[in-house]
Amino acid sequence: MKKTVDTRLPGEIGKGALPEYPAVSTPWNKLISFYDAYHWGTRHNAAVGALFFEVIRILFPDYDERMTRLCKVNREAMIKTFNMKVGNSDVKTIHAENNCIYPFMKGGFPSALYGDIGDDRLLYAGRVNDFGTYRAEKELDTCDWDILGSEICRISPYSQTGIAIAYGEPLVEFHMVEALGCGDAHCRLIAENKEKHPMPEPEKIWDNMSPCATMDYIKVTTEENSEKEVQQFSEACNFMFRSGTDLECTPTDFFKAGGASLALGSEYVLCLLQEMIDTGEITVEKVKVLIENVFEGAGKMMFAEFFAKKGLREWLGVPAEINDGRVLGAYIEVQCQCLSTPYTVVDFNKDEVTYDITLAGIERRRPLLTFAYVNMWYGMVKTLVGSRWFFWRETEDVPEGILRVKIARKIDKQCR
Amino acid sequence: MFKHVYKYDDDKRAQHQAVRNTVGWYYFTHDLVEVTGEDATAFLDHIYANPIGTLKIGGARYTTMLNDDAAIQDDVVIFRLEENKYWISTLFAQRIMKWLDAHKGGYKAEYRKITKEWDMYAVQGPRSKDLLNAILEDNIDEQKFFQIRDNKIDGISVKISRAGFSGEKLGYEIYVSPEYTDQIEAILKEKGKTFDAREVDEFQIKVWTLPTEKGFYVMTDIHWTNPFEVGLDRGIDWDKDFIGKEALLKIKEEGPKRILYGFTIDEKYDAVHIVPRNLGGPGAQVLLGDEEIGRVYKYTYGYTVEKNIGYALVEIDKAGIGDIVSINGAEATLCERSFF
Repeated sequence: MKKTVDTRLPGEIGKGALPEYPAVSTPWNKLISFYDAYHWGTRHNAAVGALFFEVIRILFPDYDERMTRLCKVNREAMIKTFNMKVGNSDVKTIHAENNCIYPFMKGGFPSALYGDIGDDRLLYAGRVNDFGTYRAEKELDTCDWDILGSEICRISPYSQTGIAIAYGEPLVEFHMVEALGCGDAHCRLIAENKEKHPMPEPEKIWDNMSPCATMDYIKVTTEENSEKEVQQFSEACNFMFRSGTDLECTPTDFFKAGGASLALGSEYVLCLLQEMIDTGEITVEKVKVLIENVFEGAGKMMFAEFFAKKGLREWLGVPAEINDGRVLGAYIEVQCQCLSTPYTVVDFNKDEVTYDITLAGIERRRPLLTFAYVNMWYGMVKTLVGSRWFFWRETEDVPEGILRVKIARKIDKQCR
Repeated sequence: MFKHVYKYDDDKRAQHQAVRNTVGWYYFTHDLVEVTGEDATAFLDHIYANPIGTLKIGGARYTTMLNDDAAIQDDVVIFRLEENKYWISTLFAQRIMKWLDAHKGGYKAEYRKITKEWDMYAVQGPRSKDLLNAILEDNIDEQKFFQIRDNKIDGISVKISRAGFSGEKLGYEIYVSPEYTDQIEAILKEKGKTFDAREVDEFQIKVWTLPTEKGFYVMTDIHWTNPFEVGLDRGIDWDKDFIGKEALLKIKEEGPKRILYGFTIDEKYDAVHIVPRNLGGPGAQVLLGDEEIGRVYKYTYGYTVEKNIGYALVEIDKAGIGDIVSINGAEATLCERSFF
C-alpha cells in the first residue's frame, strides 16, 4: 500500500497574527485554528458583501443602471485613492515601493500585480498566465466572491482599471472574460492595452465580460491541475506568496494587512451609497431602512434551520446546558478576533452579555457597516437563542470609539 | 486556438531584435542606495560576498547579498564613485535599507535611497556606442566594461556606465536627473533614427527575453538559492568576512544539492501551459519519470535563438545537461543557462 501524508500546516503559520496564537479561542476555550479563522473571515466578508448587493438591487432594480452607477463610482474612487497625497509622496508611489514594483515599470500594467497580491490575500487561488506592459492574464480557481452575483465580476475589473489609469500610459483595461460567480470553471482576468490589442468599444461601460482581443492567447488550466489553496497556505510555495517581481508575503503578513477583515465586497456598494447620501440623492434614513430589513432578515434566516444552530454551537464549543445570550456573544467574540478587532467583555452571564468593541475594527471607516452588523446580530439572536432575546447597541455613556452592544431578554410590543 | 504569446508578437520580436542587431534604448531606472562615510567600504565588504574594497573609483561590480545561511537575498551592482561614496543599484531598496539597518552595527556609514534623484536609460546593442558617441560631449571609445564616467548630453550632466542587462557585448546606461529625462528621451528618439535604434518598452523584453538568452538573472530566479547552485560563486572574496561566509564555506566543502540549468522545449509543445516562477508562485514541476526533481524558475521565448527557453532548479544528482525531463507533459532538454 502506498503511504502518503497530505500537507500539514506547520505550527508556526500565523504566528504573531492572532492575539492568542495559534488560534482564536471561544469563551469555552474551544480553539479555532488560524487557518480556519482566516478562511472564515474572508467568506464571512463575502457573505456580508452579498447582502449589501441585495440592498443596491432594491435601490436600482434595473441591471444597466445599477452596473453603470457602481462601475463609475468605484473606478473614480480607485483613481482618487491611488493619486491621494501622503506627505511628500502619494499612495501609488508608496504602494509601488511596498509591493516590489520596479522603478522602471512605467504604465498601468503594475495594477495587475496588485490584483495578484490581493487575490492571495483574500484566499482566491490561481495563477498568473501572462504579465507584460500590454497584456496580463490571471486565472482563478477559487473565489469567495462567487456568491455575490455577476455585478462584482464586472465592477472588480472596471475599478481595477482605475488603478491602471492612476499609474498612467500605456494603459491597460481589465476584462473578466470568465467568472466563477457566473458559473464558469475559472475567473479569468485579462488586462489589455487597447492600442496594441484593438477592440470595438462596448455599448455599456460594464460590458467587460465579453470576449476581448487576445482570447487566442489564453491558456486554460485543467480541473485536475486547479489549485484549491492559495500560495500562502501551500507547501509547494513554502507557505509564502511570491509575486513575479519577488514580493514575498507570509500568512501573518497578509492577515495583519487585513486579509480576513477586508470588506471589499461591501465597499463597492457602500462607496455608491455614500455618494448618493452626500449628494442628497437619497437620505441616510432611507438607506438605513433598506439595510435594516436586509440584514435583520438575513440574520434570522442564518439559524432558522435547526442544523445551522447545531453547527454553530459545535463550532464554538457551547456547553449543552447553555442557551442564552452567551451563544451569540461567543459568535461575536470569535468574529472580533478573526477581524483583529479588540473587545472587552463587560457582562457575560445567563441573563446578559455586554461587549465594548473597538468601533474602528467593525466599522472599517463605513458607519453603515456597523449599522448592518447591529441589525444582523439582532436577527441572529432571534433564531439562534430565542424570541425573548434582544440584541441592541447602547449609546448612552459610551466612550468615543467604542461600540457597546448588549444581549438580554426584554419585552418590546413593537419589535420586529 | 492558443496563440504563442511571444513567438508571434511582431512588436516584441522587433524590440528584442533591435537590441541584438542595431540598438535598443529603454527607460530602466533602478533603485539606487547611496552609501557614504569613513567605514563605507568595510561596511559594504561585510554585507556583500564579492570584494568591494578593491574596486577602483569609477568602477562597478556585480555581487550577491547573502543571509547567515548563505541564501541569496539580493544581487546588485555597486558603483564606487569616490573613495568613500558608493551607489548600490538594486530593485529592492525597501528590503536593502532594512537589511543595512539590521547589520550596521558600529560601522561609521550612512546610506539613503536616492532613486528619485536619478533616472536611468539603458542603451544596448552593437550600435549603442555609435549612438552615444553621437550625442555625448566626450567620446566613450576608451570606456571599459563596468566603468562609470561623468559626461554631458546637449549640456545636460549625465553619468555613463558601460553595463547592461541584455547580454550584449556593447551596452551602456545613462544616469540623468529626472528634470532632464524628457529631453534625454527626445534626443535618443531623434538621434536614434540614424542608427536604426528602437525604443524597448515591453517589460517582458527588458526583463525576460533578452537577459534569459544570455543566462542573466532577476531575483525570482535566484532568491533563496546559494551562489554555488546558480553559478555566482566566481568572484567571491574568501579572504574577507562577509555575512553568510561560514555557511557558504560548508556548502563549498559538501557541494551544492541543487543546480540551476537552462532548458529548451521544442515548438511542438508551444501550446503546453507552463507557469514559471517568474510569473509568481512555485513554478511548474520538473519531473523525471514520476519523480519531482525540481521547479521551473523561468520560461520565456528567445527571439534570437528562436526557441522556448527557461531555467529550472533541479536536484544535482538527479539529472544533468542533455537529459530530457518532463514539464507539464512537454519534453524539456536540460542545457547551459546561456543559450548562444
